[in-house]
Amino acid sequence: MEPIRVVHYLNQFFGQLGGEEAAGVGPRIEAGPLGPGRQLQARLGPGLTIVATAICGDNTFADHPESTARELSALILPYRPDLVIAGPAFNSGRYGYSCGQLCATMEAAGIPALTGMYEENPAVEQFRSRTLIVRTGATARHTAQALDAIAELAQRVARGERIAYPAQVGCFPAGMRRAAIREAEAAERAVDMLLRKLAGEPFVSEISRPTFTPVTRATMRVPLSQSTIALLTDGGLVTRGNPERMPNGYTDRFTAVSIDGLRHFTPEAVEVNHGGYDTQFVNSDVNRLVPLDAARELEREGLFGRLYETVYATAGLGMALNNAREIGRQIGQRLVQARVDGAILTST
Amino acid sequence: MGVPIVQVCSMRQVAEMVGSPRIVIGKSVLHPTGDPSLDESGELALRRHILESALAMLAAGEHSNAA
Repeated sequence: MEPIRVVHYLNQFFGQLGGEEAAGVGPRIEAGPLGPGRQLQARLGPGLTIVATAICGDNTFADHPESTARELSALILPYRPDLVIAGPAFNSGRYGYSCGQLCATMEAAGIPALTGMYEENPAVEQFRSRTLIVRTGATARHTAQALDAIAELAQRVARGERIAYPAQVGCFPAGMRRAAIREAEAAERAVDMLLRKLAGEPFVSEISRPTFTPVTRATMRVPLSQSTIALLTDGGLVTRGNPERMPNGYTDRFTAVSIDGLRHFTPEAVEVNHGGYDTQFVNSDVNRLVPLDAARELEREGLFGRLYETVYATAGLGMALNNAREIGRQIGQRLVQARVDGAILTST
Repeated sequence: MGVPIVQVCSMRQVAEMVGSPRIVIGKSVLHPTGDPSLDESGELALRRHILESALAMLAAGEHSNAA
């Protein structure tokens, strides 16, 4: 039987091109295993062969993720891989991001892929739903164990095994729910869990709670008196008549309400569309939701430089977390592009 | 580089749970920057106070404060 073809991905450091000074190198590929790939090959055995090693600098990948992933794909695909293995990246942020992005790109192209990371690597949260990520230690000191786990999983994936529950094979859970038939009905399982809890015994809840990581605090780059400040809200602000058709909850979109030339909000200009709270007080005076009148006063008095001309808003009711993150990312991107220096978000 | 932000809200624990970087406590879930029991000038003063707290926090990089 022909051996299963594996392409391995490494950054500039593990690919032996250099350290931080080489982080700007572009995508390239070499035949055969390299660096930690040699140790990986030894663990993969004769059934799986690392036919090539793709390498790219971490900065190149981080600065141009999509085009870099495309270029790497173009280099990798001629090697006809059955499987792509990236890293492991341990707790390295940019390397983790590169490995995750490449694996996600490969998976999207129908080629199974897997990588390895430490639990605090931000790329885990970003890519665990799109590729298999083996749990590893935080640093390259844990290379041996990481490669053991990666090689074992690679064998299973290469045999065509479909990994339905990544958490059961040493990976981070993909965050998906799958329909399954359980022996005991829900009431029995719940009582069993309760009894275990009362007895101080370990149990695993069937409800997975979302985990949040604290937002890294940005700092203001200019004095307040010269700053451009944006007002934002999750309380359901829309232009009168809701021309953007924002739903009043469970939404995946946001509105951009112009306040250019407005000294305060009037019911002729805007209204509040939110299904999660009694909006009568804010609808009778929308400044109670977004403090435009007071902000204009403070702007005139010179406490801050200038009010940004658009209020971005959404209706934060029953919103799916991934929608919330995407809305936040898009609004953040617009604020950065507009050179806004600070933002005030009012929440209901 | 990100944009510094402060959240004006009433449910501090929710804001803390989701990792909000700066928190100012608003008047109410129903009207974070208003108070229907006050007259017009009283409400405006309330809004100014909340905004001044929020802006000061943005400028100083402070962590948390009640309005």
